[in-house]
Amino acid sequence: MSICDELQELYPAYVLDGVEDADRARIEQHLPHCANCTRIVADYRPIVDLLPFAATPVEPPADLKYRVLAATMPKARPAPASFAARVSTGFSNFFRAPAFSAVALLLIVALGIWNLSLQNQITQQAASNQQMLTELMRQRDFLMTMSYASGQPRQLQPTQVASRAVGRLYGSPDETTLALIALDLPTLPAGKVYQVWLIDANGDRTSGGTFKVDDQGRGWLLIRAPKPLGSYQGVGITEEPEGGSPAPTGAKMLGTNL
Amino acid sequence: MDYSALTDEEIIARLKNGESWAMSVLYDRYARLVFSLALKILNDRGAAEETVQEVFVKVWKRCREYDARRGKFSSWLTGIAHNHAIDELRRRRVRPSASEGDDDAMDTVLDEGPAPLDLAVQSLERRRIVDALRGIPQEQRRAIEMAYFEGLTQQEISDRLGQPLGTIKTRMRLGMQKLKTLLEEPAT
Repeated sequence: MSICDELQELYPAYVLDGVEDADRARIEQHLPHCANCTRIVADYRPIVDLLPFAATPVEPPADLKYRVLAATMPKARPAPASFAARVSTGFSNFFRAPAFSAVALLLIVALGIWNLSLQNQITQQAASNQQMLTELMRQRDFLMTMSYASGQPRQLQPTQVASRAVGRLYGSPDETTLALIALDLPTLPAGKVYQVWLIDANGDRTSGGTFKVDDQGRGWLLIRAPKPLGSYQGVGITEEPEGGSPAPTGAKMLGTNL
Repeated sequence: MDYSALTDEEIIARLKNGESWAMSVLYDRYARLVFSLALKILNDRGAAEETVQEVFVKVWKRCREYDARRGKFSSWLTGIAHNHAIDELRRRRVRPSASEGDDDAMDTVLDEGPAPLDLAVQSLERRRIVDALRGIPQEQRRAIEMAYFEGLTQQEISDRLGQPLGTIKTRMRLGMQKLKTLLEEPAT
């Protein structure tokens, strides 16, 4: 029996991904040198391309799309922390070197002080980078929520205090992550913020967080609601002291019943 | 823009260009197929969901490797999905739905539900392969399904069915040749 005859019995299993590794290796070694066997394998490919369609169609859960899209969004790069490690490693290696003298000791003490100073700066820089990273991630989550919100956004209606203001509230599929966009709100005096309230059936207010607006009255907020938005009766936005209030104290700017 | 009018290849080009909406369109188009395939292989909804996520992440990371001249996007995608699900199956040793001792392993495959209009193309492909599978002898169909959906080698199929290895090889070869002929026939 020729090698071709022998392998032809394996080709159906090969294209179906059902051969032993050793047989796969033999086949893949042979195919580049045999046009006839290559054609036989190629003839089987369209069958394999169609076999996935034979699986009974089943809808994936709705929230899976959100997870997939979140996993495929470009991610911010974490701050590099290798410099301090490299400096420390260099010192460690130097201490182990045989040519260790009093002059070197003085130099090392001086460098050690400088190193501590540098490390302190690096720690501060790392903390700053971490804050930037956190903010970037928050903005990414906000954009994700808005971009892939299910259904139409909820419109927040302006009050007389902010008659030109516009509010839109976008919800994730499970409606516990909300993206708020507000436009044309009055600019805030120093020490003040806007605070979002989620109002339940008993009239109790739960804070959804605070935000500020730019000089054109534009602001945004990513809200992590304790319960799905649909389980609340309404949403409101008031002006509050910086840091937020345990309950509304200032004028209502935007709101809606749900 | 009407994204639904774009071909898979056009969408992949946008994905390569860093346009993140393209992933959303691909997901809408193929998540059901990938999930159905993974569920058929793994018989576990949680594992099937993980497979879908892993597969689309791979597509996103490896989209530059896709070459339309070498085949359809759906073939590339289902190839990734099949490999991933079979690897997971072999790792977990989860018993698949088409289990041994089942006299008609294709019952679940042939039990077709209503297809949405927006998946008309996939429904058409499903109709073709299901009809072709119906057209070959049950023992040939069974051997092909055990290889593809259960990730079994010819020797493992032989052991499970208690049939000589040569018999299994012949069944698979005859089954694949017959499928090829049936799929080449014009649709009636």
